[in-house]
Amino acid sequence: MSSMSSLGSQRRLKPESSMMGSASTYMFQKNLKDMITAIRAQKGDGSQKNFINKCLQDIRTEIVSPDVRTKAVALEKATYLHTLGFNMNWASFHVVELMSVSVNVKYKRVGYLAATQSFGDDTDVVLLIPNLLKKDLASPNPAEAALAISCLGNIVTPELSQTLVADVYSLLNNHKPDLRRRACLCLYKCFLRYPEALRPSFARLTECLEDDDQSVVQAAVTVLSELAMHNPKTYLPLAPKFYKLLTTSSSNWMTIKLVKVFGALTPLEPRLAKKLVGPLSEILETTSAKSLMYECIRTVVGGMTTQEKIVRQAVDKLKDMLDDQDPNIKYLALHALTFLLETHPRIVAEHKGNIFGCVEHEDSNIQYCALKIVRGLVTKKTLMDTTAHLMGAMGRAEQRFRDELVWSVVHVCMNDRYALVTDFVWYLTVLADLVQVPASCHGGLVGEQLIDICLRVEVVRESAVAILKPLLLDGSLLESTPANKTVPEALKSIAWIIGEYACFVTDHAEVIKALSNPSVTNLPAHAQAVYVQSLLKVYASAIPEAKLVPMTAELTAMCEMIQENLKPFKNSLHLEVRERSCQLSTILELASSAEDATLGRGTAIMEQFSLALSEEIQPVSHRAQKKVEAPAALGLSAPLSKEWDGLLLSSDDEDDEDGGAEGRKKRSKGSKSKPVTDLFTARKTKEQIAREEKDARKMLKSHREKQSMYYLGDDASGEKKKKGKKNRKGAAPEVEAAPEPELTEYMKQSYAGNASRPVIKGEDDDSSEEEYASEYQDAGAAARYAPKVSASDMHAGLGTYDPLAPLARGEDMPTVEAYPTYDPYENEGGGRSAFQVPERRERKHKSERKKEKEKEKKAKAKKAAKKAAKKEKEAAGEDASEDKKGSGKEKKEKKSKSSKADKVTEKLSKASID
Amino acid sequence: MIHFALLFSRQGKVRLSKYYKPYSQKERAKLVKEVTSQILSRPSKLCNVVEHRNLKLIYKRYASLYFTLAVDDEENELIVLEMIQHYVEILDRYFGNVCELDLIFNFHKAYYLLDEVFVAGELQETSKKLIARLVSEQDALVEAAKMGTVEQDGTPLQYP
Repeated sequence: MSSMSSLGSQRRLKPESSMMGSASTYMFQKNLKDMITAIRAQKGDGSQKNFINKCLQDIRTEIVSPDVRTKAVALEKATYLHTLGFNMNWASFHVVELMSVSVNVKYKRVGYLAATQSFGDDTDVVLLIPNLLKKDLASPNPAEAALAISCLGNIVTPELSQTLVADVYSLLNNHKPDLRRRACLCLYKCFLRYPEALRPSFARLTECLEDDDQSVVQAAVTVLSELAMHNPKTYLPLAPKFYKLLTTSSSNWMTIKLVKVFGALTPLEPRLAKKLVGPLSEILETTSAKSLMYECIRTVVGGMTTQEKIVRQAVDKLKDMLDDQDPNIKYLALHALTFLLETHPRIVAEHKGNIFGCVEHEDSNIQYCALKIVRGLVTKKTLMDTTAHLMGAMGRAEQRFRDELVWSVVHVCMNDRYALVTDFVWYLTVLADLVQVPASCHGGLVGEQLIDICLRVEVVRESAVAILKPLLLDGSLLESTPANKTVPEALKSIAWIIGEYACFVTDHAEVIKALSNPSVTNLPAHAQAVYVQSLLKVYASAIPEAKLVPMTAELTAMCEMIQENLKPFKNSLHLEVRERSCQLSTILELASSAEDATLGRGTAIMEQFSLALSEEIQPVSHRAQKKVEAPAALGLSAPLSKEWDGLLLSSDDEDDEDGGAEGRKKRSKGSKSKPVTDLFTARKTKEQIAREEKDARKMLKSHREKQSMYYLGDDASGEKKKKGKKNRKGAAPEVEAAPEPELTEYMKQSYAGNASRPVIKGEDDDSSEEEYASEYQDAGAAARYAPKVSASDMHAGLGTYDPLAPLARGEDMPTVEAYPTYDPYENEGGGRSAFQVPERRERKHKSERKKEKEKEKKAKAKKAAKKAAKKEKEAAGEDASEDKKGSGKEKKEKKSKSSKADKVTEKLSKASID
Repeated sequence: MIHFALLFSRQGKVRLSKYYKPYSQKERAKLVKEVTSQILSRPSKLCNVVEHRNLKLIYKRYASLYFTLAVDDEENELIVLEMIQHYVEILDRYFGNVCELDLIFNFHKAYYLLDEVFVAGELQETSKKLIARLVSEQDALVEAAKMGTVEQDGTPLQYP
């Protein structure tokens, strides 16, 4: 007895002593306010950081205290520091401890807050909390249940969702509307992380739309609208319910959600648009809430563009919004107008003045949006005005937007093979202006455009030279300043154009002087090279055409000038520049020395050059290659070697009886081992090969290390041997995997099914969506309400789809279509079931194909046999039903037989065919 | 849906942060850095909408504090602005003329209020009155529990 009591007292003593200790820590513990004040008192980042680290150390000692109060304060402090960016993963176990404190909601709340803030997918203690959350979700205290729901809504992982979704779901039946509402919203998060959960909850969720409590209805609408955004089509059947709610709703918050859902649904169902005209136009007329009005407008421009009347009404509202002083409203109005560009460009064009004004707005969002509209509005008639306007805006725009403007001008003009441009000389002047836009980053683009136009539009070449010459002469463009960032790219093109079309140059001396300007060396090497080349062209073109005329003083002067100015180029570090300049210098020397020997001789030489250089470069269509016929002798489909052919046949053609010993061996092996198809599917083979190769390499290496002395002489042969071995081992499937004649046959067989598979799949869904698009809506709307995850993606991934895998960042929730077995609307008809899983067409191995073939053959044989039997039986006057039975039996028998027996029957059937 | 809510001062110091999508610690730090710098660099009088990666950041400035919500692309910007306003009004009602210091020293309360307004990244309660009542009820409950005037299941003794 005494010993027992002493034990008991000892036991009692321990906690007491620790309580004493904890009480002391509690007494000396800094409370939250103290800590925050102290942290704020620290000046300077360094000292503050040090202080916080000290605080964290204190917290670490305090948090292990068995006293709940101390622990809670410590955790609260840690949570505060967490917000400041300090890790609190180390405390996660204590967080769970505090979450499970049941004596006081206060501590629980602290625990839950810490969990909500700090737990993530990578927190390991999340494994510990399902039961805790389960208990709290079912707690009779609504505050606790609310805490658990909020927390779950933030930290839910796929595992948590899987375990707890049923508990959240059951809260939908709670008598407290507050909890019903929260549970409803939380469910959406659970679906996101564990999509399987949507299937069983869906019906109840839709029931929530008829809840007595408005806030629950609103929550249900919210969740369903979010789900509908993922895959609107599945939610079309809910449209009547939504419609009813829309006409009765009194809360703007909910009306907005409803209008948004309809925005996603109307592009899919044109009748809906008709029906919505009434309520929406009423809202547009009566509402004073801008947000609701904007939502209505979005829905109208998104999917109801066929309803002219309401589009008109919406655009009228947009006009008011455009005039609004609030930049947000202005921006949103422009944003909405972009959707109308495709279908109602005229209506948008009515607001042109306003939109042009927005291009120069101080807000970049507005600018970009307005620019987008301007780009979409340009027509042949307005091109010049618009361009002039945009060029005008460039001067005042910021750097980034200015680049965007340059890009826009060029792209508006070049789009559709210059469809809008009627006057190319005008376009050249525009481009010439664009070259001079300071600090533009599109010099290269402008240069390309210049060359493109000069090459393709013959008539503008003379004007081009005249327009571009001033740019070449402009020394300031050659300076390497930030303002001339990409000007060299354009100058390169200009120099090339002037050189190429030097026949139009009037003042050769001036151009030559500009081309050989010493500051040309500031340009990048490739541009310098073009300059030097152009020098020759321009000089050659300066020679008069009459033969044997002595060189004029002008020509000699030019020649001397070139020689003089070329000096720095001849010492250039860049090979191309150096080579070309030396070449040019030599040519000129040659000419002048020849001229010195006999008058007119130098001119003759230069004229030869000019003749050679005057040949025109023609633009080549990118499709030109196709027009070149392949020579008849080029046998692309002929096998490379007959020897190889035999090899491939022997290894592949299983029907081939006289395949040789090896072939037979292989076949017997193949027929014996059951998973032959598994073994030979492309992926496995690859892996196998890789593994085998690796092993072989390893073996070789170890062998070499051991027996290095033997490898001295016949290193290569040893390797070869090994390789040979390895090949025999590993390459057998390899050879089988890609035999050439077999492949072509295969292509023939299953080209449609295999090669174009991804296309078909994509198209399948795309086309159905496009059908909708083309029938009922404009392209803009389709873009806007394109489902986040296209159904085809969903289907494609289903085979390996793991609903438990956490969604990656940016990855959206799989649509409802992820559930292959369930279709709540299967009775609705409508052809393509959203839940149908397309058959995954695997890349069939030829052994499989062979089998199929055999099956076909068998079937044929059977048919033939059947026919024969029928004839016989008919002749005998037997009952047809008996015949059927008999054939069924036959089938069964056949099925039950082993593969070997199968082969026998197969041979037999073959024989019967023959 | 709201992806995250961020409340930061003009100096870029985070006052409140709530993530409704699973961002790792590293991503959160990166997000905070990007979002604060992107928003703080915008002069006032511009639109309150900024594109950030594939999300829309919608922010509103109150005194020295920026309230930011990151939402899906198809969310209605104006309603998000109203949500922010809604939350601020609730804070104001609770603290009585709320200021930055209130949020610093009572950050946990601000979080509790945030949880009353948004659940799982969606607006859950639109009535300020109801939220005020719920929060005060909860506060009373906590106080009651402290005083020991509460039953085991948390039902306050005094409150019918």
